Amino acid sequence: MVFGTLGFRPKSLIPTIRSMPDVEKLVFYCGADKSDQEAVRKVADARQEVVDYCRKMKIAVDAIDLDDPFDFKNIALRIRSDIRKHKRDGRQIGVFNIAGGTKPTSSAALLVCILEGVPTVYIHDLTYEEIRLPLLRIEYSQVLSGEEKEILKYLLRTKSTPTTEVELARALKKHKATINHHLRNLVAKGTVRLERHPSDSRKKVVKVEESTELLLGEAD
Amino acid sequence: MRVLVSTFRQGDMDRVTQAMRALPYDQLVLVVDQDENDTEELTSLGKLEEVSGHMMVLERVDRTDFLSMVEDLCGIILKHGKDRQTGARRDLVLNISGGTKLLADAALLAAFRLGIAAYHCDSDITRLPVIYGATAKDRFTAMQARFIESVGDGCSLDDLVFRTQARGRQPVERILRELKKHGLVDAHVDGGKVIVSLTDTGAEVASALRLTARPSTI
Repeated sequence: MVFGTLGFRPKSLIPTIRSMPDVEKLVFYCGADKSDQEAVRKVADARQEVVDYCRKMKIAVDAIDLDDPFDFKNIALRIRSDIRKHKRDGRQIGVFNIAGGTKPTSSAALLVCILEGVPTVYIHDLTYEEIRLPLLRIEYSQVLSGEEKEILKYLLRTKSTPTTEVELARALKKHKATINHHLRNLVAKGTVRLERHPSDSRKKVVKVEESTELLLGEAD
Repeated sequence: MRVLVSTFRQGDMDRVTQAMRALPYDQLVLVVDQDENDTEELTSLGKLEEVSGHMMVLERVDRTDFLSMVEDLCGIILKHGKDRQTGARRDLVLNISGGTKLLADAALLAAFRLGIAAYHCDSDITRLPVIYGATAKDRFTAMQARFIESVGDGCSLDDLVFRTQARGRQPVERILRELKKHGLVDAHVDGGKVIVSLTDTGAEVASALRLTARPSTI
């Protein structure tokens, strides 16, 4: 399988299909600023051109229209969820071409490739050369301990409810000192922050940083 | 001293001012392409900084090669991440929403390589899931890291036993197998000797390890 992002130029994506042997399916993400009719038309034309190319080459194609191609976080969450789904289905992801699309779309795709360890290519916008990005997968399983991940997952599940350290310790059936130790580490790693309790200024609530959702993806 | 490093090109004024509002900082460093002209927006941002008593710093990077851009960005981050005179560490945050697509992506990669706080500031502010201080070296054992750093442009397995100060050939062979499995090194036999070389990803890891091993690492 080949994944990609698409903007105005099919030639930023099609060379990757040609450079990969035995591509069975192409999944690509596209979208334009809806207030810019010219951009909408150009993206639609490029999308059609890629779909036509794949049909002629007998390659299955899934063109995903992004509601907001400038919404970095939601694009990253969507792409990560799709990648994980394909991995779960036992599909092999050959490469992700991040050259096309809006800047947030391309950056969000690169972020997912780093987190999921997907081989990534870029088509240089001046030389049109395909560049393979030697990405090193960030192994967060080695950076976060099992307890830290457990805390983060719990906080993500209950993020709408203010949770104090004591409540967290009770919910996870751990000693308060243990939770305190892990929370200090998590604060230092930038994954959680402590804030004043909304109704009791003597207490502090543990808030999970928004980026943690991107880090952990869907609950495993 | 808190430093805000942001990628920028003409047309990104709103994104950069959004980052300036959202992220506390003392000094602004803008990273632009080599061929970015001194535009009205750049002048305007410079004036905004002057009012605050800090001079805006402009760093230019060559955009011909993506990986060189990543290297340049890492160099810029490390340079501004410490005080030149005292060597004291500075709090540094990176905004990747400005600049060309290539520059923004290179900045994202640099943020992960160095484990620094990074944001995508547009109409929404998204903090990137970089774990502070988590770098390439966290992924490897000390011996594996020494192995990768010792390979250089390629060398024999016997040289690696010497360079890594391993206790014999066996542990080095084991590490070779492990790193080969991860696609970081290649090995072939030449003139009866096993010659080890780094793959592209291995070379990227080696340079990431070199960066994070510097005493100035932030």
